[in-house]
Amino acid sequence: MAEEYQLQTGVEVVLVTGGSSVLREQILDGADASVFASANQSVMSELAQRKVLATDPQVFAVNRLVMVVEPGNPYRIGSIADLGDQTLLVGACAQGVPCGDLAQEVFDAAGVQPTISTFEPNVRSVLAKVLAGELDVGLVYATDGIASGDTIEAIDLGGQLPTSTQYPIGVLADGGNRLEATRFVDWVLSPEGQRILVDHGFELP
Amino acid sequence: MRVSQPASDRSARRAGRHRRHATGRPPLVLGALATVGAAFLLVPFVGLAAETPWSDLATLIGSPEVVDALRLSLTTSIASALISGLLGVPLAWVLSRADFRGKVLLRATATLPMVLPPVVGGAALLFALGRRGLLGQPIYNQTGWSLPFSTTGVVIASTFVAMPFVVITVEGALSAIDPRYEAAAASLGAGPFTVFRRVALPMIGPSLRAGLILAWARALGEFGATVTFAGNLPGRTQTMPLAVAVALDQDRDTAVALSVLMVLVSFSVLVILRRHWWPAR
Repeated sequence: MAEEYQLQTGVEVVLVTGGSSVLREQILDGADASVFASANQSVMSELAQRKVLATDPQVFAVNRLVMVVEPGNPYRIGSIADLGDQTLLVGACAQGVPCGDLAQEVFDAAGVQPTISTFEPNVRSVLAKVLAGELDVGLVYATDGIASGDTIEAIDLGGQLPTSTQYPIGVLADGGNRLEATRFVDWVLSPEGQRILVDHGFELP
Repeated sequence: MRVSQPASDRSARRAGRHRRHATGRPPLVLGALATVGAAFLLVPFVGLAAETPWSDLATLIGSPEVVDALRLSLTTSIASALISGLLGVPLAWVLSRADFRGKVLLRATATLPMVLPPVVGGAALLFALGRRGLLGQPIYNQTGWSLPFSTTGVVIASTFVAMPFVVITVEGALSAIDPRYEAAAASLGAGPFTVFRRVALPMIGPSLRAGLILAWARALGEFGATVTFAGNLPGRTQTMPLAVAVALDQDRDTAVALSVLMVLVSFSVLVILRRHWWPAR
C-alpha cells in the first residue's frame, strides 16, 4: 500500500513494522511516527489513554485467526478441538502480542487449552516454524495463510468462535506532517485503499 | 612426574604482576575519549535504575515466571560453559598443535558463531538439528526425540554461541607455552595425554578459567539463537533474556525488574570472579 500511495501522490511513506505491542512501546518512548496501525483495538486504546493520538482511530481492516498446517494436513486437524491432543506441537504468539491474545480468547471460547510448545514474539515466526515443519500447527492470521500460498494449508476455525480482530489506524499527535498523515489515513479508508486490503485477504470493517 | 617451572620464570611473573605503570594525569585526548566511553557504557544502566520500581522489586522478582526464568538461565548457562570447555579445549588443542589440511577453515568455522548474528545461528541449528533437519530428521524418525522446544535445545543454542570464547582463549594460551616444557616431559617418558593433562592443562589454567567465564557470560545473555531454535515456553525454554523481551510487550514493570535482576547477577559474578577473567591482573 505504501508503494501504491507513493506512486500516486509522490509522498514518501516510510514503514516501520513489528509486533503491535513492540511498536506501542516505541511510540510511548518517543519514536518519531505520524501514523500508527495496530493489529488489535487494545493496543490502540492504550495509546488513546496516554493521549498520544491526534483524533479518534478508525478501523480499516478486519483479520481472522486461522490454524495453519503443512500442505496435506498430515495430522488431520479439522477443528480447534483437535488441538487438545497433547502430542501435537502447537505454536502461538506470546501473550501481549495481538495474535497471541486473540488465540487465547478463541481457546477460552472453545473450551480447549492446547499444550503450546512455544510462544513466539511475532506471528511471522510462528508461520516460519510451521513452514519449516518444526511445528505441527500454528495460530496465525488468515492473511498470513493467503500470503504463503501453496506452501501452507489454512484451516478455518468456523463462525462460532471470536476469531475476528479489528485493525485500527490513527494519526499520532506528536508526529510531524499532520496534514499528510491525515491524507494517508483517509486514503487507506477510501475504496481504493480498501480494495488493496481485500486483494491481500483482509475483510472490510 | 611433575614438571615445575624454573625459578627465573616464576619470579619474573611475580614481578610482572606487581609492576605498576607510571600513574599520573592521562593525556587530554585519552582522558576525554575515556570519559565519553565510560559514559556511553554507564548511562543505560543509570536509565534502567531510574525506571526501576524499587519498592515493588521484591514482589516482582518473587513471581513464578521470574524464578523460572532465573533458574533456567543459570542452569543452562552453566551447562553451556561446561560443555564448551569439554569440547572447546580439545578443539583448541587440535588447532594449536596438530597440522592438517583445512586447519584454516576449521579455525574460521570455530570462530564463526561469534561473528554471526545469533538468530542466524539459531536458524542454522534448526536446519541441522530440527525435526526436519539434516541430522535431526533421522534422529526424530528413529527415536521420536525433538530438540527444538526443549531445555536441551536451549543448552545447545547457547553452547553454539559460547564455545568460540573457550576455543580462542585456550588456543592462544596453548600456543604461547614454551614447547620445551612438553618436550622435556615427553623425553622423560610421558605419553601425549599425560603431557596434556599434567603439563599443558595446568599451565593454561588462568586462560581456561577466563574462557569459561566469558563463555558462561555469553550463554547467559543469549537471546536470538535460543528463541529461534528452542522457542519460548515459560518453565522450559524461557530464559531471562526471553522473559524480558516478552515482558516488554505486556508489563513494563516486570521487564524492568527482570533486567535489573540480570544486571545484578551478571555484575556480581563478574566482580567476584574478576581475578580469573580480567586480563593482566
